Amino acid sequence: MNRPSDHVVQVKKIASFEPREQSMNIQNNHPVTNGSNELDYMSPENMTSKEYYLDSNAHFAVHEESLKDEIRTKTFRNAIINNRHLFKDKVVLDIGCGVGIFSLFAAKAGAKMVIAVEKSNVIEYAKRIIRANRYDKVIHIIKGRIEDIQLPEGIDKVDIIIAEWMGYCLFYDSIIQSVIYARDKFLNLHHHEKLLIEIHVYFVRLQQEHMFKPDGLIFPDRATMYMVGIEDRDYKEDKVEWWSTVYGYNMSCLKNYVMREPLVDNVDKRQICTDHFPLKTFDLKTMTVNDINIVTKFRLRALRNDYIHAFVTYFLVEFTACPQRTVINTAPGAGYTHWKHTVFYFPDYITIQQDEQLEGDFSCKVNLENTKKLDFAIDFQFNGKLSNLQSQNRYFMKG
Amino acid sequence: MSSINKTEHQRNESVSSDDEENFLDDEQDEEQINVLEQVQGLFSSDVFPNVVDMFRAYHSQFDLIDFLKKHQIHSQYDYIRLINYIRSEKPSIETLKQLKSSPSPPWTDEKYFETVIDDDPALQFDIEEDLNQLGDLSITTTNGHDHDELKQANERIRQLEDMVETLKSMTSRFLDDQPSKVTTSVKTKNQDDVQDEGYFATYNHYDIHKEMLQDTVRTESYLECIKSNVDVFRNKVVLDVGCGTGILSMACLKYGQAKMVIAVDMSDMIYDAMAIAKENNMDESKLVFIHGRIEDVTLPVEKVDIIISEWMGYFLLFECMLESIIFARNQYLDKENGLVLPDDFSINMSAFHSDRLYHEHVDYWSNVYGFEMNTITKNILADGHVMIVPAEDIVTSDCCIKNLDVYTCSNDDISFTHPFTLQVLKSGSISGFVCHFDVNFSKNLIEKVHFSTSPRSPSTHWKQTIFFLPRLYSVQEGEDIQGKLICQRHPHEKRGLIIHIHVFDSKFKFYLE
Repeated sequence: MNRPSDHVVQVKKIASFEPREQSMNIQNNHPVTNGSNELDYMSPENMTSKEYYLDSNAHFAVHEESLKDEIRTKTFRNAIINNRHLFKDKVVLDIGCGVGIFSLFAAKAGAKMVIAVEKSNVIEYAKRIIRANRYDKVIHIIKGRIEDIQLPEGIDKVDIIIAEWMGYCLFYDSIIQSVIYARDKFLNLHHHEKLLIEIHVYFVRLQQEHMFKPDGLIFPDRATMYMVGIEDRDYKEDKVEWWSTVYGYNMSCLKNYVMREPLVDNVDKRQICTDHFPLKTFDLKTMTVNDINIVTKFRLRALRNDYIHAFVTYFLVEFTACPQRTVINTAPGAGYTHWKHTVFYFPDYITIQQDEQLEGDFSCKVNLENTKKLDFAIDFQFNGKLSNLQSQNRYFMKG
Repeated sequence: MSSINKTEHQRNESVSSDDEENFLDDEQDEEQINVLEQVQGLFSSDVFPNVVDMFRAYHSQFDLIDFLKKHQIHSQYDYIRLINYIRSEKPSIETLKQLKSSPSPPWTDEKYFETVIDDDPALQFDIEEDLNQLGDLSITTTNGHDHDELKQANERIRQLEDMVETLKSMTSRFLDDQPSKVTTSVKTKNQDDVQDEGYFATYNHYDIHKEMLQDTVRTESYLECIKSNVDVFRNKVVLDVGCGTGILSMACLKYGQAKMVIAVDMSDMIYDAMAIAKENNMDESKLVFIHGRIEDVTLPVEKVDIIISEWMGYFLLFECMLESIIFARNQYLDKENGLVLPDDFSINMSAFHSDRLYHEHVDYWSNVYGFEMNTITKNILADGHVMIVPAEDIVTSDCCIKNLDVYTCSNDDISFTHPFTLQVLKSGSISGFVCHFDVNFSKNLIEKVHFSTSPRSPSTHWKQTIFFLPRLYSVQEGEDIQGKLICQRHPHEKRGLIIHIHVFDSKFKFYLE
C-alpha cells in the first residue's frame, strides 16, 4: 500500500494548524468561523496560522491537491467542455468554487453567466485568476455560504449547478447539504414539480424517482458507495502492530486509536479478494438532507482463497446529464485520485475460501451540523470452512 | 552608532522606504524589531516610531476613529484599501475630512489592494484590536455586542478557574499524601494561547508521533546518546521537555539508570505516555508525567541535572520551541554541572537546481488546464517549503549561517543576520536555496553523537527547507554567490519565522508559518 504523499504531510505541519480534535473552548473565544467579519475581508496573504486554523480552505495548498488530481479535474472538464450544447447561453452556479477552475470551464463552454460561490478567503485568488483570464464579465464571484447569499440582480434561477461536493469516504467534510439547498432554492424547476418534491419529503417515500426530476442539471448528480474486503497483512502489521514494539517499548494502548479511525490511503487492486458490494446510491436530483446516511446489510463473496484483514469503501460519481457515460471512479485500480480509499480494520482476521460469503450490517451516520464527524458501524458474522468470526466494530472520523 | 539616539529629523534623511536597510545597520542594536515598526506618516514626510504614535500625533487634525465610523469602515479589508489609497493618491487631511460618506468611497477600487509601501506597518495596524491603544474609544463593529459578551464570559471563566484552584489546594490536605501523577496548570487564556492551542493540538494525534519515532536517524541518535553515556545519566535527575510518547524518558530510566525523570508535555499525548509507561513496567516513583507548558507547570524538584528534548523544527527554529528550552535551562538547570542534550547546532545553506521541483511547484501555475493562475505563484514564492532535495541537485558548496550553543544562547538568537558565500560547483542554473541543520550531542559527554539533515545525509522527517527564486539564475562554475540571510520572528505568528535572502542584487522574503 502506498504511503500518504509527502506533500500532504508537509501541508499538515506547516500550512494548516488544523487540529484533529475540535476544542469547544476555542470556538467560544473567537467569532464564528464562517461569515466572521475578521476573516471575511482578510486577504489570504494577511492570514496567519491562527486564521487558517479557523478557515483551513483559504490556503491554496488544499486546493492544489484537488487541482492536481487529474482524474477529478479532467473528468469535470470533459463533462463540461465536451457538452457545450448543455452549457451554451445557460446560467451556471458553481458551489464551493475554490480557485474557480470549474467556473472557468463553464465560461469557456459558452455559459451566458456563471455565479461562483465560495465561503473561504481563497475566493480572493479566484477573483484575480478570473480577471487575469479575462472572464470577469461572465463569471460573477460571490463570497459567502450558499445558504446566505443572494443571486445577482435579475437572476431568479439557475440552469446548471456544478459542485465537487465529495469528501473522503464520500461524506467527510462534504458540501452535499449545500448542493441540496441550492437545488431547492435556485435550480430551475417547474412549480408543480417543486411542490411534488416537498410532498415527497413530508409524506410517503415514493419509489419512482424519475417522476420528480427537475429541469435543471446537476454536475455530478449520482453517487454510489461500494464496499470490498481486502487482504492486508503487511500494512496492517505496519500500521497497527507497529505500536507493539517501539525501540523495545510496548505502546499497544495506541493500537485502539489506530483501528477505530478509518484510514484514508491508497489500496492496491490486487489486495481485493471479494466482489464489490454497492452499499447505497444517492441521487442528487431528488434526495433530501435526511438521506445523507447509510444503513444497510451487506454481503461479500470471496473471489479466491484468501484472508480478509479489512474492509474498504470507495465511491463512484456520475454526470448523468452527459450523453456519453462520464464518471469519476475512485475504486482501487481505477487510477489515483486524491480521495484515495477508506480502510476499516477489525481485530483478528478471516480465512476465506472462494465463493464463501460474509454477511453483515454497515452504517454510516453523518453529523449534519459538522460534516467532519462521521460514525461508522460494521458488524459481521462469518462461518466458513476454515475460520469463524463474529465481530462488532465502531469507527469514527472527527475532523 | 546606535540609531535610538537619532532624532526624528535625522531619521528622515537616512530612512528610505526600504526598512530592511536600517534593520541590517542595527545589527548590534537590541531593539531591532522596533526599527521595523517605524512608519512613514500618512499625511506628512515625518517618520513615526510606530503606528499608534502616528495616529496619536495626527489626532488633533484627523480623528481616525471618527473617520472610520463616518465612512463605515469596519473591516480590516476596507482599512487596508484606505491606507493604500492615502499612500498613493496623497489626499490632504482637508480633502479627506470633506468627503461625504457614501456607499463607494474612492478607496473601494480594488487596485488599492496593492501595497504602495513595502511592509507598511500602517497596514498591519488591526482596527478591531489595536484601536483601543489610541485612547479609550473602542470600535463598534457588528460583532461589538458579542465582544462584550465574550469579555464577560472570559472574565467569568477566569473567576471560576481561580475558584477551582482554591478548592483543589483546600481539599488536597484531606487526600492521601501522594504526589499527583498528573498536574494540569490552569492559566487564563489570551489570544496567543488560543493560537498556541492549535499548535499543541497538532501533536495530539498519534500519526505525527509515529512519523517522528520512525525517523531512525533522529530517534536512534537520542537513544545512542543515552545508551553510550550511562555514566553521565546514572543517578541523575532528568527533565524531558516535550516528551510526546515518553520514549526518551523511558530510555533515560531504563538505559541511563537515572534517579528520576520528569516528563513534561502540553499535548494530550502525555496521557498515552502514562499508559505506555505503565505497560512497560516503568517505576512510577521515578517517572513523573506533568501535563502543561514548561513555562507554567510546577516541578517536584527545584533543579535538574540534565535537560533532554527534541525541540527542533523545520529550519531548526520553526515552532520556536527553543524558547521553552531556554526557559527550562534558566529556571531548572543546575548552573554548575547541568547538561542540555543536544547542545550544539548549526544551520547551513546552499543553492540547488531542479527542473522537476521548479516546474511542479512554481511553473505549474502558469498553465492549469489551459488557464493562467500566476497569482498563486506569488504565494508559492513567498513561502519557505519543506521537501527533500536530492543531493545531486545541490550546485554549490555549503555555508554555515548560524551556530547555536544551547548553553549560552538567548531568545534573541532566533532572530539573526548572517552573510554567506557559496561557491558554484557546476555551471548552469539555480532554482533556489536549500537550508538544513546539524545536531550535536557533545559537551561533557564521553561518547559524542552527531546527525545532520543535509541532502547528503540519510533523510529525516525534517527533510530540507527550501526557498524558490522567482526565476532561474545562471551561474558559472567557480563563481562565488554572495549575500545575506536574515531570520526574523513573525510579527503576528508566535511560532512563525520570516526569512530574508539578499542576493543577486535583490531582496527576497519568505514566510515559514
